[in-house]
Amino acid sequence: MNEKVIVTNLGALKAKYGTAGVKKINTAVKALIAADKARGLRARVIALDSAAAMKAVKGRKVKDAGNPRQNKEAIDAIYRKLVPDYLVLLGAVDVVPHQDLRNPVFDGDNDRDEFAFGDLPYACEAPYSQEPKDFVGPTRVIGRIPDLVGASEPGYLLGLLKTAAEWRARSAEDYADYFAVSAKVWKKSTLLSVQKLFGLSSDLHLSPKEGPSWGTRLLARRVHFINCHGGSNDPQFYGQIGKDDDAKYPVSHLASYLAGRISEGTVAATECCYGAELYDPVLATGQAGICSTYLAGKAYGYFGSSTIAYGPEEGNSAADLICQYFLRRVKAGASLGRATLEARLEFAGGAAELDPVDIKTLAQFNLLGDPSITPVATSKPHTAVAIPKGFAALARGGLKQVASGAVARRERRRQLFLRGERIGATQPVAARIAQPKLAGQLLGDLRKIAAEFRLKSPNFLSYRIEAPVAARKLIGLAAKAGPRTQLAPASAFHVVMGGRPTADAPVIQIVALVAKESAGKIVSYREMRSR
Amino acid sequence: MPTLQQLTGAVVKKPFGLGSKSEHHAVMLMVGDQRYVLRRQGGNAFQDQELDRLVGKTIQGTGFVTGYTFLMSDWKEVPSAATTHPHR
Repeated sequence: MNEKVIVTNLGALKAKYGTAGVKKINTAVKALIAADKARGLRARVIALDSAAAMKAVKGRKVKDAGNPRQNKEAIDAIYRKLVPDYLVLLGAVDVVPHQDLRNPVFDGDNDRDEFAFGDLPYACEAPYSQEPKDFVGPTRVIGRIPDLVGASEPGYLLGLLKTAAEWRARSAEDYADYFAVSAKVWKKSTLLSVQKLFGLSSDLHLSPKEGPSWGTRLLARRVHFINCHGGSNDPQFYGQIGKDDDAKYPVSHLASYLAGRISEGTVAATECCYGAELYDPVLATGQAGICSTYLAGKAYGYFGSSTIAYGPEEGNSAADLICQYFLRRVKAGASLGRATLEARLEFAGGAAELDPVDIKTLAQFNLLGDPSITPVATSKPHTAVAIPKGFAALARGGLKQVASGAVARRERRRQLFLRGERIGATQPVAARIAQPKLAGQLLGDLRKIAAEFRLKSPNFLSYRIEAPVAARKLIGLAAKAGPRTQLAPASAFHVVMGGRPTADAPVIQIVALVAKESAGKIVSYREMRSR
Repeated sequence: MPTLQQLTGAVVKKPFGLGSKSEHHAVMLMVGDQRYVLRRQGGNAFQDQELDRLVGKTIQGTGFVTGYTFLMSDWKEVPSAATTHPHR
């Protein structure tokens, strides 16, 4: 029995670091496994490219390290056989790739992410697919300990493995103070997020005029929440003041400045576009991304987006919500991996129907860090009395309490599994219509909305709402129950995509207006901005 | 490992995308029939006046092509000349 499984691709690691480098990584992984054992977790490593190891779990080895399907199938086989409480992807995307989910709001002009890359499918029971709507019911606790893309020296990864081996839980007070930054134009939205998370919003910092040279004490706080702009292959985040041609985008957060200023145990949630993109530092004059810099600074976890993320100027939705849910669970004492799973489930189950922006959000946010780390210590609800069957090995050496904790964790996993399966089986989702035929009043209404936001020549994307069989049955039952349930449900979504006039910005500012259609009419819409 | 490339072309500011449907204006490098959003490595990805100064000129840039973006580490102005395509 293994509570934790670490998967990697030895061939890919060898290609990057050579035999000597892999030997060092093996030593560091052994130290992690020993540390986990002392904490009551039986951990093991499985090389996805080992025929023998994969045969033992009735799976097939990964022949091509970069092949998402092969990696998904191998990890599914491991899960089915071992059912670990935690699964760690060891390595960046050139060792174990993100899954290649198609971006439901890709339009080529504005949102140019053809794929919403991420690890979500590894957390789901559904087989390999490129359709993100197939992965709205995650059940598995997963995180990634990345190395640096394109690296040839393993020092960075060895550091992260050391952090994972030596972590310790701290008191809730240690995670009470926060460091929060927002682009000034999103002040209202971020204030709301911060109030929900911390009760007080007095410590929210705005860019401009603040940043990126943040005070040492401020950066040393252990919870970081950032709602700024980000670009691909870019080690900086940006604030914003003004709009359209008058907009200014000063740097708000800078990877090179963060080095050496992050406290051990920091947990960060960033809403920024590409905030957790794992890129080759060569593309940025050798500077690794902000996410990698946090982890190098002994942050325990970093939750962010691989691609263009969305949120409103006012109120909360999409990136705001999933980041809030993650941090809230961490502060409540969940492991980083469980916090990620619970955040995904809360987000996926929280809407009547998941619209295309919701689906992209779910697909693109990932946990970087060891999922078994539990930053905030909480009191244990159970007192151990006897050692349950199957947990005797954990109870050796007076670890009866540890064995009891393992049982409680198994129960939580079962509960989360059922919750994920239920959401996957019942949640209606938006499915893209390849060639939408918009005409008449519907098209007129959408054009009117686009004009309100001064989007000239916008792109219109359309989606039907697909309800799983179980959901359709429930809807049928509900319809018989009485008039309250007979409100006409939404029948389609339409997304109006456009850019706003912005001078000289290499990175586009996207406005996505997500409109809901019911009975042939647009009944509501929400405005989303690329982060 | 990304490959360092040299591209030569005219720097323009225009709406992005084929027959662009947005009013977003980006600084772009026109290389034959290809166009790349131009970014300077280490520069501000959202607002870069250095790039704006290149508009209207022909440059030879050195950098990396990632997707639709040319991440430039170095460049020099050259007389209006034939463009060079990236190695695929």
